[in-house]
Amino acid sequence: MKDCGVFAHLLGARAGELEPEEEARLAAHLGECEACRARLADDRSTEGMLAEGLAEAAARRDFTHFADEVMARIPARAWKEPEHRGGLRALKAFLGRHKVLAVASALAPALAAAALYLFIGRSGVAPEAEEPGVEVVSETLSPTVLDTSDGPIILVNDADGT
Amino acid sequence: MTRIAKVAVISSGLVAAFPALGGEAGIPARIRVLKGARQGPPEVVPALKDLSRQLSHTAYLRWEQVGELQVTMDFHKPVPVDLPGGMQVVVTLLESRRDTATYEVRVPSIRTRSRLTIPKDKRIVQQVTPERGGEAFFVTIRPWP
Repeated sequence: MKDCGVFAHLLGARAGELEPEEEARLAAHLGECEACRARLADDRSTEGMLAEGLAEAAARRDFTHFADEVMARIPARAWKEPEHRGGLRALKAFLGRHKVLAVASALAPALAAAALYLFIGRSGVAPEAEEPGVEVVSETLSPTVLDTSDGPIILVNDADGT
Repeated sequence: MTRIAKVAVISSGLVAAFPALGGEAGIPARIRVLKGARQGPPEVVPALKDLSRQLSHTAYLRWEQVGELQVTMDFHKPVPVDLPGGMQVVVTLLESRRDTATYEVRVPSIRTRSRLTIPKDKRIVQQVTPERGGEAFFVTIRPWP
């Protein structure tokens, strides 16, 4: 009787869960402990009652029209065929509803490109920053560039240095 | 959302178009023709006082102004500048940034061409004739005078 606490947790084990050694020790204990035998018998008598009860309750319920009944309870608007808003269809629909915006969106890049072209063409602005500098090319004279704080001075001499 | 998108599109178009519509059409420039001489007492005429420090870097001692042109130069449109003796210099505005202007100065008679980029507050002084008898002619250009 004194070992009942040791074997109590083994009583609920299902077949194959216990090690052979545990199984042998439990069998030895059950052989000499009437209380544990009674408890084991009681456990086995209720085993499966819950599962059987749930199965019986489910069997009483007719699920033939379950899906139809659930769908009937959902508002019609909620289960309408979903729109593929992320796709080309959604874009077409959006542009169809906002024609002015669609035209403006199409023209904006073209307008920007044309404006840039005109701006560069009219102002001669170079795409890269122009650093101050002097470049002199002469076929007949020898140029000399003097840098001063007020600006460059370009002198030209005859090829003989005069 | 739609209104914001419309405003964004229209704004971007206007921003893109603004430089073309309101961009600078030309740059004002002051072009002067100078004569420098090695002989005689050092002298810079009062009209060239603003250039005296720059001119002092040369070997020429006497300076006088023989011509002046104040013009708003269009891009890539050559501006002829007459020199004494029937010679001519052709100045063309090539490019500009916010603070710099780039010019081409051509002197056909001596087959010389220069490309000069100068900041807003600087001037170019370029000799445009070879020295003869101790004298030579120069052209000076100042953008946004």
